[in-house]
Amino acid sequence: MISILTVGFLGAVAACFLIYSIAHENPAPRVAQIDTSGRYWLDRLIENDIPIEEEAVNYPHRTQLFGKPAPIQRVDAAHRSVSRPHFSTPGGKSGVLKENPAMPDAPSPEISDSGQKRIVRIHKGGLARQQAAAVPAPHSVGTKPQRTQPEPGIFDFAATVVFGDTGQSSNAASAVEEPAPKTPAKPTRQFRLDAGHKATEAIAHAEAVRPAPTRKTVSVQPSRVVVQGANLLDRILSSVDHEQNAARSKAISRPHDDRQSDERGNS
Amino acid sequence: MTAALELGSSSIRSLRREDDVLKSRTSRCVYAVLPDSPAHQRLLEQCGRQFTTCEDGILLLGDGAYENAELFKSPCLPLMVGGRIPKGNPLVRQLISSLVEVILPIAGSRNEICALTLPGGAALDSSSEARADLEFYVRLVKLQGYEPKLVPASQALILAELVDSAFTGIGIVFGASGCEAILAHRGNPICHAASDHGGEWIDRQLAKKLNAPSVVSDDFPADTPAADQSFVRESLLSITRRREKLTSAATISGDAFTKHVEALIQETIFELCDALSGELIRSRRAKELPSPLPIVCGGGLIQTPGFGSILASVLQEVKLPIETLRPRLITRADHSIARGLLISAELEATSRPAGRAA
Repeated sequence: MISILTVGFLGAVAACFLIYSIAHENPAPRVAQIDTSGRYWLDRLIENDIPIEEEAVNYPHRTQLFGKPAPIQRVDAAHRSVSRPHFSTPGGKSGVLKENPAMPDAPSPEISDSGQKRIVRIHKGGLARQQAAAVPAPHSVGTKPQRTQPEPGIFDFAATVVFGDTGQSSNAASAVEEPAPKTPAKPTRQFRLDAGHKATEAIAHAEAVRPAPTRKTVSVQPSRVVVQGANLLDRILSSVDHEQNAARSKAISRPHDDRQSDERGNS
Repeated sequence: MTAALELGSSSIRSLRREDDVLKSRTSRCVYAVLPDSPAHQRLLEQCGRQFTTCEDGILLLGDGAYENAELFKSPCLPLMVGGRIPKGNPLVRQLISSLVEVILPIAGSRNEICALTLPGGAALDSSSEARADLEFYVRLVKLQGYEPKLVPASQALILAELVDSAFTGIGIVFGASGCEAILAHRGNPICHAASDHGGEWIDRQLAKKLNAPSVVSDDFPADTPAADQSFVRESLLSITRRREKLTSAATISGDAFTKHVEALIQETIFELCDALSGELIRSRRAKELPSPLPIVCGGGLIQTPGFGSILASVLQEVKLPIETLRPRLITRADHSIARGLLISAELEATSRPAGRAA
């Protein structure tokens, strides 16, 4: 009986101790459990063992934001040099004499990847006809003939057209034969250089037959704008010159006519 | 529960663990402005595209802008310039905060850790003086219920990829807005080198070489109007797309554009490696590390064909003061940096309760 009571007492004490220990459990073991759990996922993450799922992004829809969007403006790079103004001088000289700068708005060439030799062929006759319509008549000045050297990398369209006396035309023709140096064009592009039209040649021949002027002549290279017939001012000035010449000739002829009429009246 | 937020100039990505799966959200950091008309709104509704509105236009954000801007003949603009938030453009700040909100989900409980990188690199000391826009990003992360932890991208790359060498080695990230390299020992950084030259710098140089009319200067001065910057950024994005579409190295293709890209990449790598070499020479601990050290590289720039051979040649030229292994490029793991961030956040989270108990 005593032993039963002793065992029962011990059991009750043990139960009380157990209940007390459960009730006042130290949080440290729980932290250890969390650490273990975190460690498990961390190890899997380090080993790249967890699959990755890509979720769709739900962007904001029909929400209102404050403010205006910044306007988009085009910002061009500054031009290196602006070409000189292109006026017809009183003597009829046209074009840029000393320098032939690159066109400010000319499309810049892309980087060429090969140094292949390309053939540049230009329709000389057609260009000359355009030139005849675009620029005033050639003139002579008392200086040595000089040719401006255009910048490399730009098509030498100006070299194909000659202003001034016909003696310069052969130079132009030889200049046309040369392949364009460092032409930054794609290898597949080719420009054909055809012979001039017969009409142009006939004109050139007639000019060659004409007696040469006593003074030395100079060929003035026009800018590319003129070659392409875009210089409206030159056209206008040339037409104005033409009208002025016509007016002068009329003015000269009028007194003669008046005299004739007077003579007729007198008679 | 922890989360990772990889904030980059070109894209933003989050990664978090839910049950036994990692869930990721990714978006490009671009936007587009469309005319504010009912027809445009109806068209976008029919296409199922989400859009927001502002005072003078409809805004497409993220991938929607990247995919659909050309359809509407509108430029696709990046949200950040050189990894920085454009000044004087409150609309872009709102768009960035909207993007962070949709990419980073709200935290499930209080004080969850979110490890994040910053676009354009992060200072090792995490000082707010180093980055003026750090406070902006930190606030955004806090608004989502997280406790932010700043981690450099290269350190995250080491945590993700250099497990075999016990997180010891050199991690290099060639990003869009800059490059950075870290020498770490057991995951702790020892040396740090950074360069502003990245993918965007390469694109600006390419634009200069191609004589693109929109490029006004090498870097945006502080007083450059936001409108000017936006056009420059728009034109650079087209060059970026062209560069990213390269499929073969210059030795194979012989293309001039590819050659220029490779030359600029070489310059970028050289600048970073030169800076890293100087830092390694100054560091005493670097010489005590076991050698040879592994090198791991990440970032968008390493996807360029021929990058590995360029890097190897530059490393031969620079001659780092410590012996290194052949660099390893992480080209097929987009989530490497985000995973490294998550590892860093988990390490922080697991060490916290023990610290509190102690």
